Amino acid sequence: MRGITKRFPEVVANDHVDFDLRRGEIHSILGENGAGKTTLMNILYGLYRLDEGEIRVNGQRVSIGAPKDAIDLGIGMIHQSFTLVAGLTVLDNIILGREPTRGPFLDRERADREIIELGERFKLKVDLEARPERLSASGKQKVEILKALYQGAKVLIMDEPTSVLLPQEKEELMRALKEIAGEGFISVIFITHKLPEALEISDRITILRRGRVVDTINAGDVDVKDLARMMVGRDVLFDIERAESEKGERFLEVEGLEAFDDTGVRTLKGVSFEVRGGEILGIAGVSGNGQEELIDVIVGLRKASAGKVFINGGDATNLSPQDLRALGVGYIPEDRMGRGVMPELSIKENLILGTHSQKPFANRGPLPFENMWFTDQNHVYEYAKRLVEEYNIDTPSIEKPAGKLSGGNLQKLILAREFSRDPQLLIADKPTSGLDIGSQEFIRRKLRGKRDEGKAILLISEDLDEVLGMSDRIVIMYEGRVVNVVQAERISKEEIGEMITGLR
Amino acid sequence: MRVMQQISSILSFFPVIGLAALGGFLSQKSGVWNLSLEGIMAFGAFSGVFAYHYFGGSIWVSLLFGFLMGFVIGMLLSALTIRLSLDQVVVGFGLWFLTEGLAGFLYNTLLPSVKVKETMGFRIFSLDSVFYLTLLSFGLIHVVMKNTKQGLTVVAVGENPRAADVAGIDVSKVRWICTSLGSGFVGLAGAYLSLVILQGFTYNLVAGYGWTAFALILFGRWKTSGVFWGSLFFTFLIGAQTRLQVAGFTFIPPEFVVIIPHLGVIVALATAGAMGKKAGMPSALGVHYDRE
Ligand SMILES: Nc1ncnc2c1ncn2[C@@H]1O[C@H](COP(=O)(O)OP(=O)(O)OP(=O)(O)O)[C@@H](O)[C@H]1O
Ligand SMILES: [Mg+2]
Repeated sequence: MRGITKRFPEVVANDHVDFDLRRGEIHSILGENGAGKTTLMNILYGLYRLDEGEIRVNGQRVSIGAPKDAIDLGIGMIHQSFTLVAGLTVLDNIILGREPTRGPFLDRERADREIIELGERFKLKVDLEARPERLSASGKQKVEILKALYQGAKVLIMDEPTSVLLPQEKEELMRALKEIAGEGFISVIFITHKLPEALEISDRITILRRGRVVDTINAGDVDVKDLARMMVGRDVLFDIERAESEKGERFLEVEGLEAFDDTGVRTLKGVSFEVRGGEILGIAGVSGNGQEELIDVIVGLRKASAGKVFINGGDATNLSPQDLRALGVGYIPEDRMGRGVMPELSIKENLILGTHSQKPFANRGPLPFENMWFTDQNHVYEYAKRLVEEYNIDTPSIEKPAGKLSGGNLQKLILAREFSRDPQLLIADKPTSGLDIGSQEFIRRKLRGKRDEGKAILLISEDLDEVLGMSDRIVIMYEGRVVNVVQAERISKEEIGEMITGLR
Repeated sequence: MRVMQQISSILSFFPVIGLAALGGFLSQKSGVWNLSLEGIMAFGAFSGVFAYHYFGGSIWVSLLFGFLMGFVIGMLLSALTIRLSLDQVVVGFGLWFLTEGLAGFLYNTLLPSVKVKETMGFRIFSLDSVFYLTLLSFGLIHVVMKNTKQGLTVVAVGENPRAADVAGIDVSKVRWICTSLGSGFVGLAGAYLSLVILQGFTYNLVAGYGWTAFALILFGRWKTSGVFWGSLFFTFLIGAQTRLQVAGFTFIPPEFVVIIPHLGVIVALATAGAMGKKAGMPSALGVHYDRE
């Protein structure tokens, strides 16, 4: 790719980017949130049209106007958010777009054989009869990889594939990718925010900053510190010191909580714990062990079938989300697009969502009613402007629809909204996933700051380093129960790893 | 024997409901609401009679012309919603009014009151070939949806256009083909209603059958088999209603008899509406897809 330039209204997402990929290599792309990584790959895959520049494949100049052209050239892409069709089987998802047929009919038997063969060759096992919506993130990812390989990909683009994976799954993925590239025919483009990963897996690394290439280097020639400096343009602190804080009153208490998941299975089987002011309580567990339902119940999005939730000593079981908010519960959901924002509304509007009909954003106007129907536009504007600056949300304008933000900046928007509401209890579900290292550092500092102010924080994360580094105490969940509650400084990552997988 | 006759005479109405429902179904499967069924049927009905009068009085040519005009309206619907990305609900209602009004207007200005004299020749159990063609279409679409590349493509586009696009499928093309072809079926349903059932065009002849067909798609939970059994069931409801009226049952007020099929529609809509996604509605139904 030579001189690739892509302009969106008001931003240059890629500014004369040069990028090349050798056969059989694993090439990582690093860069801060909004640096233009996804955009560059979307251009290569025909999802975005380039404004300037050219793409050559095997020395031939090509024009890629649609994903179909990319697929025909042997380019496959696995997106940041998965693109599987719910309701179709895994098999149908894999063959979609390149269906084997016999006469006018689909030849599912042949597909089945071919996919199993592919799976064996690259050590990727999936259940072909399953529906993708029932699979874990790692399962979905395997389906996506198989789909790309089945379509004949010679280049596999993976956009932040590890941000959704557990430590063991990550190892598995890295092994599979090395296997794939190791044969020498297929190259991998690997986007990540985790620098050690990039160093471990890549042959070469390209660093983007604000739409431009900083450098392309051999992975062997640099270390994490160098990479961080190149990405951010300054030195980055990796560890945040843990200072003792004053434990306050018990703010949240759950007692014998039980709940069912969407399919009617009881996944939460009697969980009890408490969170005090001035403490960060981490919840560690492999997803699917009841944490999702636990959070849903606490924030009022799911009914508890048994047990109680107390907030500040008062019974808050099965209250509505609005009531819980009024009691001072803030929530940073994992599902950003679905629960975190209204993608069609502007950044500005999203920032005041939930408090938009209260002072100081709204007023009564000349009407003699209680309801505040009039929005104070000036105030909202100033407020949004300030938050965007403070939280370093990279956007040309606060009027832009939130859905158009890059993954990491969207997360920052949600964090900005929830933090600035000054909740007494903050439930943070994987708050730093998808954030670049600079922003991770920033968010962790913010969380720490809230704790030191005496607020209660419930932190859910699959990143064991994060749970361990941030929490005061850690609740370990396995199969819908709390198997242990430990002091963070008295336990190692390996021990937690064993507990969450039921080995101890 | 009397019972058999009654049944085939009720069933002879099946193509009107079945073809219209099947047409709307095809378009919805690909993710496009077709809210103009009522109007497209009316226009198909007019077009059939028009062709009968002007193109030599062949019933088959007239039916085909009804199909073609439906197809053309479907292309218009696609152009407005897919190409120009206008709201499907607004366009759907607009086209309904336009085509229904136009059908009546054109009939009044262009056609003397035409009486269709020809009837369909070939019959089995006194049901004509369009009836069997309708059955065949249901079977065909069922198989296509389940077991062919084309069917898989349509389902993917209706469920998750982004995923389909990424898999190299041309989302707009699939949608416009399904919408236009579907509208063709709807036009054919209308032409059959005027040419064969009523043997002429009358004002407001569609009388809510388009909306009945629409409700059936929801009632059938977006499955070919569901839509089929639903259509059959409603054909019997409609038949029962007209026959009860004719028989002049005195213990049920005739006003009540007339609303039987409409009650069915309300029940169908309410249940499908309450179940939403669980009812099998294509996830991207009504959602415009744009790449950037
Ligand atoms: N469809 C779009 N419309 C308008 N602006 C866009 C669009 N897609 C991306 N952008 C903008 O282009 C810039 C680069 O975004 P991109 O998604 O490529 O970043 P990224 O490097 O992948 O970041 P992240 O690590 O957060 O995923 C951002 O400023 C973003 O707001
Ligand atoms: Mg990205």
